[in-house]
Amino acid sequence: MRIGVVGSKDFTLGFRLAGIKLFKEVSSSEDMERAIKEMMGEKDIGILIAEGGLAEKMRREFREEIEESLEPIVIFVGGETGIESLRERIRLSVGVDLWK
Amino acid sequence: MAIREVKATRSELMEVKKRIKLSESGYELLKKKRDGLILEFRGILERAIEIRERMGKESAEAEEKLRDALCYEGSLAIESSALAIEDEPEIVIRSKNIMGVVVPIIEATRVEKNAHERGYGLIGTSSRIDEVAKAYERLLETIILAAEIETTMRRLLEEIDKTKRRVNALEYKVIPELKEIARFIQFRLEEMERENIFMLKRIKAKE
Repeated sequence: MRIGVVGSKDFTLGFRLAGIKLFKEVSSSEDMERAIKEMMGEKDIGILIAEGGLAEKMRREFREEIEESLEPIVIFVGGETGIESLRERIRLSVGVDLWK
Repeated sequence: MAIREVKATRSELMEVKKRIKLSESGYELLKKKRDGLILEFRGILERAIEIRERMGKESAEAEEKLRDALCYEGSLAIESSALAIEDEPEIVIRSKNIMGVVVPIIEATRVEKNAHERGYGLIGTSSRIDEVAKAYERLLETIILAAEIETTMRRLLEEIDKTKRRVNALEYKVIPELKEIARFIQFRLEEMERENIFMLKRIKAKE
């Protein structure tokens, strides 16, 4: 399976140096939403790496929806986003916020 | 089972008592499973936090290196190096079983490479680009690890939720209801007994 990257020009460039061929450059959070949707439709994609800084400005519902996605697994890199939904799930399931 | 539909017979009482016993042993088992899952989860959580931290550090480092390289080499040189890389990292997702929960194991190939394996020429590119590539390769490894472990956590959480719901349903719904039914039948049978005795006494008195 392949790995995909969605983010700003510099963000994707770095991962391209690591050999990734499946990428989309975006400049705004609206673009990002569209790009992520497109990427998720891509077949044979196992992990989708998204730029956390840009993702912060995306709609909350959409962000949470993709965070829950398992095919592909979406990971936000950089910034604080990416673990909110997971933290929330832990709080709901275990009863306390263990993520500290 | 609603209490109205219950037939107040001795065999029914025995049946209900058997079901209570079964539910209680099931309840104990599920409680153990829940505790086991939470224990498992805690161990994984620790690793997940550690990996997230590492990922943050590595991504900051990689970005810094990339910025440096952009300043010194210009985006065109880096872009062309990126285009020259042929080997795309690949992942294989297999699955593993933790206490009945299917979790993924992600194996990556061709992530970290040597400078000469990357595909762009060594002459004409600077070591800075190598540094950036190396930093991003390392970051990619960590991201893949994070993907695996976070998915595992989500799966485990789902299972914990399910088990918890079952435990609660048994504790607060199924078992109390069954006990209620058993009590109802018991009372009913005792009542019938008393009626019987009373009837016998009346018959005797008439004689």
